[in-house]
Parts: sequence; C-alpha cells; structure tokens
Amino acid sequence: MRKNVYIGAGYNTIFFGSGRKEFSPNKPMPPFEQYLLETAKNSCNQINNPQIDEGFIGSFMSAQFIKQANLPGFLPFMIPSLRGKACTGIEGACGTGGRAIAMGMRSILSDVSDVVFVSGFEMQNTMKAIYGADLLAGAAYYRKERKQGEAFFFPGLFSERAGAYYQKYGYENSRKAMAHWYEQAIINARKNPHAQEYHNQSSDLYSLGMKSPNPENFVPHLNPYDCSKVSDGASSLILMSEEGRLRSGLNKDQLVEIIAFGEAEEDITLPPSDLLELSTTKLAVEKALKQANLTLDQIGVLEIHDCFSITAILAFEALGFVQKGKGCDFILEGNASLLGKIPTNLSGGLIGFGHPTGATGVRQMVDLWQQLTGIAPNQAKLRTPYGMMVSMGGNDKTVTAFIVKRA
Amino acid sequence: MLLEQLLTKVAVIGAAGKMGRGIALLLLQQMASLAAKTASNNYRLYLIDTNEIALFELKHYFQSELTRYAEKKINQLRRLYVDHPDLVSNSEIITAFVNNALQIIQLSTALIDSQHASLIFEAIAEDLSIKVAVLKACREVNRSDSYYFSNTSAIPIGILSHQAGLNDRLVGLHFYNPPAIQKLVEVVFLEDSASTIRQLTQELATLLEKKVVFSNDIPGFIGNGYLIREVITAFQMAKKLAKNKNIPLEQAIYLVNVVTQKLLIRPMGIFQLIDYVGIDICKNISNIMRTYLRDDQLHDELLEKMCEANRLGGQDQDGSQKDGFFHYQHHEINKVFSLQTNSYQPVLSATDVEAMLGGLPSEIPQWKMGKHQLQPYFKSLLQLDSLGAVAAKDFLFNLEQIGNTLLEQNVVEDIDSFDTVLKEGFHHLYGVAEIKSWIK
Repeated sequence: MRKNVYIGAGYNTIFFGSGRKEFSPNKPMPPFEQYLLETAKNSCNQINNPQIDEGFIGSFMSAQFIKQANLPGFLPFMIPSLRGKACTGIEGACGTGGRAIAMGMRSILSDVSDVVFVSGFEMQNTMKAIYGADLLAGAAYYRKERKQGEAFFFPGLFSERAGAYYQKYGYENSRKAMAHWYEQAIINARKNPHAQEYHNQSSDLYSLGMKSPNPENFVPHLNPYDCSKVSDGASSLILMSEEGRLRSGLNKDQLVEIIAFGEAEEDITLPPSDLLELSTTKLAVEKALKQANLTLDQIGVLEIHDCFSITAILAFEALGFVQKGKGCDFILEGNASLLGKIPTNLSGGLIGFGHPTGATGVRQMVDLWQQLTGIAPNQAKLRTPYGMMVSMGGNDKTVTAFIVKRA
Repeated sequence: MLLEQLLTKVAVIGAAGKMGRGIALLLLQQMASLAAKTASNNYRLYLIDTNEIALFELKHYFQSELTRYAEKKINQLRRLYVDHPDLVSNSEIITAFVNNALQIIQLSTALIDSQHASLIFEAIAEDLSIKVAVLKACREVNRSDSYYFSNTSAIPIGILSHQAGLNDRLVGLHFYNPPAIQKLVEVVFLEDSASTIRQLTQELATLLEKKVVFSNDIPGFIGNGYLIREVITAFQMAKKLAKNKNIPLEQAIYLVNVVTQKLLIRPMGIFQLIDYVGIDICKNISNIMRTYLRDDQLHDELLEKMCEANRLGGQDQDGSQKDGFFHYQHHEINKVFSLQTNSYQPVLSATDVEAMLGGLPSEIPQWKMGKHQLQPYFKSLLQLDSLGAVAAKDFLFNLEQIGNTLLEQNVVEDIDSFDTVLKEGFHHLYGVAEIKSWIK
C-alpha cells in the first residue's frame, strides 16, 4: 500500500443478549447510546490527546431495529471533537464492519485524514428473533427471496448450504465438525468477559452441538447451536497514518499495521453459483494475500465470519487452508484451536462472542489487534506476526479481507 | 375427517371463565389453522358467558395468546400462507393469522347464539343444577345432531346427560388447568356412547395435542378421585400434628405442605395445590363426590371454614395466585392463614421446620431436577423414623391406597391410568408403580 495504516486503539463492548446472565427479555436493556459512548470513550482513552480527523459509523439495520437513521450524526455525540468534521455512515449487512474499516483506510491512503475513528454497532434485542429475522433478511434480495425463505431466513439460507454439504460429503462427519466448532466457540468465549457466551456453563457442549436439526421448529439442516446469536453491542478502533501515530504519541509496539485488504462484491440478485463454495470470500482473500505478498502458512492468527458453523467449514476451504470437502477434518483435527496450526476466533467468534451485525467486522479487527500486540484475554502463542480476518455480508456477497502485521 | 367438518361451527359455554377461555383458545387455534388451510371464512366460534365484561375482555386475551401461538408455529403458518403473495414477512403472516382468527369469534351472553354449533363445549360452574339447566337449554335451541362435551371434573356424565336429555350425545372431556398448557385430558364415555362420538373425541384430543386417559363414569373421575382423598388425608394429618405437637393448626398446615412438597419431591405441596385449584372448587367437588359416592369421609369442615372466611385461593385473570391457605408474595409462600385469628401469620422459620421434621436423608432431590436420584432417596427416607420421614411415608402409603381404591371402585381400568394422571396432570415424578418398588 502507498502508506502505512496502523491500528492504535480499539474496544469491544459486552455483546449482550441471551446467554449473558444479566440478560432478561422482560427487563430494560442498555440503550444504544450507552454502547456508542462506551466504545468511543474506551478507544479514545488509549491515546494521549486524541485528535480524530474523521469518523465512520457502521450499522446494518438500525433504521428498523431502533428506528434510527442518519447515523453519522452520532459520531460527534460519541467524540465531541468530531463536530464540524467529516462523518460517514456505512452499511454492508453483516459485512458492515469490514466496509467501515476499508473506508477508513481509504481516507488515510488518500491523505485526507491521519487519524480516523471507525465504529460499528447493532441493537437486535429490540424485538423477538422471529421478527428480527425479517429485518435480517434484508441482507439478501428481500423482494425475490423472502417469501420462499424459512421463517428464520438467514439460518435457512445457510441450512441450504449445509444440506448440500451433507449430501456431497456426508452428514456424520459434518455434524461432528459443527459440534466441535460450537464447543470451541464457547470454550473461547468463556475466556473473554465481554463475550455473549462468557457465562455459558453447559457441561457437555459437544452433545448440544450434535443435536439433530428439527425442521418443524427451526430449519432443515442446522440446529440453534450452529448459529450466531442475536446481539446488542458496539466496537470501535482508531486507524492512523504514520503522521497520525506520531501525533497520537503511540509507540509501534502498541500497534498493528494493516498491510493488505481484499474487497469483493457479488451481485445480490444472483443465487450462489455453488452452494459448496464461498466464492466471493475466496476472491477477497486471494486479493489480500496477493497484495500482502504472503501465503496462508504465514498467517499466525485468524478471524473468520462464523455466522453459522457451516460457514466456518466453508470458510477454511474458501481461504485455501484445505481443499473442498476437507473443512470438517481440518476443524476436527484441532487446527483452529488455541494451540492449533491456525488459532481462529479466539474470543468465540460470532457464535461465541456474539453478532451485532454492524459491529462484528470491527470487533474482529480489534481482536486481531489485541492478539498481535499480546493483550488479548485468550492470548495465543503466535508463530508468525501476521493475522487475517474476513468480514462477510449476506450470503457471501459483501466481503472484505484484511491482513495485519505486528508493527 | 368428520371432526374437520364439525369444527366449522363450535360453541363454548362459560367461555369467559378460566377453563372456558383456555378451551376456547385451543379450539380457536385449530379452527383458525383450518380456515387458513381451506381459505374459508365459514368458521365460527360462539363464545357464550353471562359475564359480559369478562366476555369482551376475551379479545385481548386471545390476541396475545394467538400471537404467541402463531410465533411458535411460524414454520407451519408460512406453509399455510404460501399462496398469499402479499404475506411475505413473519410479521405479516402472524398478523394475518391472528386477525383472521379473531374474525372467527362471536361473543354473546345468550345461549340461543349457540344454535348453529355442531360441537358444544360446556365449562361452567361445578354445579349439577346449573349445568343441567344450561345443557337442557342448549339442546332445546340447537340442532339435534350436535355433540356435547362437558368439562366437569366430578359430576357423573350419565346423570348430566340423563337430566339434560342428551342421551348418548354427551361426553366428559375434562381438561386440566390451564387447558392451553396442560397436556392431559380425562375422557369419560358412557356405556351407550355411540362410536361416532367416541371417534370424534379421540380425533379432537389428537388435534388439540392432548394425552388422553380414560376414566369410568364414577364421581370425581381419576384426578379428583385422587386429589380430594389426599386433601382429606392432609387435613387429618395437620390436625393430628397440631394436637400432638401443641402447635397452631396453621403451622401444622404449613409443615404438611413442606412435607408433601419437599419430602415427596413435588412441584407444590398439597395445601398450595388446594389454593391453586381453588378452595371453593375443592369444596364443591368434595360435596359432589360425597353425595354421589355416599361417602361422608370425602369431606372436611376445614374447606367450609376457609370458604366462610372468604379465603378461596384460585387465580386472578392474569394467572397470579390468589391467597387461600397461604398468602403469596412473588409466587412464594409468605404467610399462612389462621382461622383462629382470622389473619395471616408468618410461617415457621426454616430452622424450626428442620427441627420439627427431624432426621432426613442428607441429600433431598429437587423436583425440577427430574427423576434422577429418586430411588436411593426414597429408599433411605423409608428407613427413617423422624416426624418428617413418617409423615412422608404415610402420604406414600396413602397414595398407593388411593390407587387401589380407584381400581376397586372401577374408576380406572388399571393402575397405569392412575399413574398417568399423577404424572401428566399433577406433574408428579413418580406413581404407584414406583412407590411399590421402593417399599419392596
């Protein structure tokens, strides 16, 4: 890239919803303003005398979930020094966070700004999941797809992928891998006090993950443990150029550098060309690796978009860690665990940490930054200084992959 | 299916009451689903009650309950509405289902408005003369080929049928409280119940997703046949305890409640259960059973005294427990009623209860944990001779005897039916079959 882009600070709020012991659908919940202020304050407090040039705020469906649009107006609310400055709202479904970071990077790369605040949030507990499912269906081609879709629309889409995967590669091994993925997600979440599943005390996670899908009550090929949660939460980070870093008084050992990003968009009106492949994800990752001039085995830590356990399996195949059909074995062999070949989703991922759709991409980057600077709650012993994340929106439509390096 | 044809026009008499509205809700859910399936607007559910205010409040109740039902059944509803291009989101489908269901209802205070019903459900007060009068009046205005279902939990169906002139067209279909949630129904056929009504009843129970247990037409049937007898035992035990231990009767009542809940591992103690059912209802039922079984043992003056003191138990419209033997706070027993002082008194402290009950097994399972560890616990309990252990043993033996009585009196064909009622109706974790194995 033409100049350095660093991440100097970042903060994830608690991702709140069912699973947290303080959560009850009948009790008042923290309002969105609380999440926004908390994430901004805690990110900015990591920098001496933060001088933010520009802000980005991402959210997928706030206009429906909380009846709030014109989100750029909340950036000066979060950071008063942004009053009178450029503030932009970003939306890319569940890939919003990745798009927000990419837009922030563009401001730095084009010399418009030196210190950029990037945030993402979502509030999904404002309604029952059965109704939230309709809103989340907006990440697909609603007018053409919703009617024929399952009640829980997005689980239904990925259930279709799972069904195709079972048919081609077998159900049993797939189900075991998905159960193992769930188990691992919760084990990792238990190490992060801000994770939605932090309080999960279930003694036999694997058995829960092994439960057979119940098409009558949910979707044909996934059980509820295969799915990410309905969440409220916010994340933010601060991007900076070299000049911004100096201005912020940060040493490089506190930073990671984004050394590459791959962006790919697919036509939302088209169905997946192959249910067994995340082709847009594959393309975005290839672009990022090419730009970074790296190979996969040089990546030391990973954040993937495990909206569903089947997505994790397909992601490992799309990224190229294994060939098609071998994603299950890859997971079952422990390669993605804390001590594995490629430690992945170490704060629980979307299934364990939670998935407030607009926040997730930013959350993933904050996690990578923490891992690579050695301050993560579930710190891995990294064998390389490189990390990678994939932020995905919709059914593999809006994808941004980033490669970061310890600065 | 005959039932589907007859389900187009249905009446519930006593629809505004606790049981009536629950039965109405179950019927409405199915009728609305059938109406959606067949795209018919020919369905009518006539809800009849003398309480006009409660009747008109039913729409709010049905709106919220139907919404919950539709949310649960959303997968099924999406299939039902697949040919409605205007209904796309879950929200639109649920709203359409609920609105269409509400259109099926017709509210009335006049029995004559049941005249077009093919199926008539009676869920009014547990009083023979009132039930007979209402059923007779229905018969006089209604079609001659209608079928009748009575929710009576104690009055012999044969007597009701004969006095109302319904002959073989009446069946006992006793739902447990609350009907929308409890899975069990007691079915009482008469000897001359025609095969049509028998088949209809079975189909109906299946449609409403209920588990059927058959009772013969003996007053009290199985559920109250058990409950009233155990209630009498509880009263006798409390009085004996109060006398022997020189403690106020109300504290003895509290202790017996603790024994029956905690030591017998039940969801609630016997006196809390009486409060739940309603003390006035228990009194009525015991009077019915005493009268028709000619058994003065099936009665206790305590029920009369509590009714005279206007401590009736039961539930409010919102389902919250009303005070009876106990005063409740946040669903927990807080105080116990003293007939002597006509006021609620604090219950014995946990320490006092422990001291009075005496030595017990070191680990007492909890009801919500299920059947795990019951056998070793009861085997251990049955060997002890503390006050608590002996009281619990007496209840267990008494329960076995009640089962034998119901068999001898031909209320049930087999002890399995009795155990089914205990487990599915009263949510006991065990029945007589298990008790017998522990005693061996």
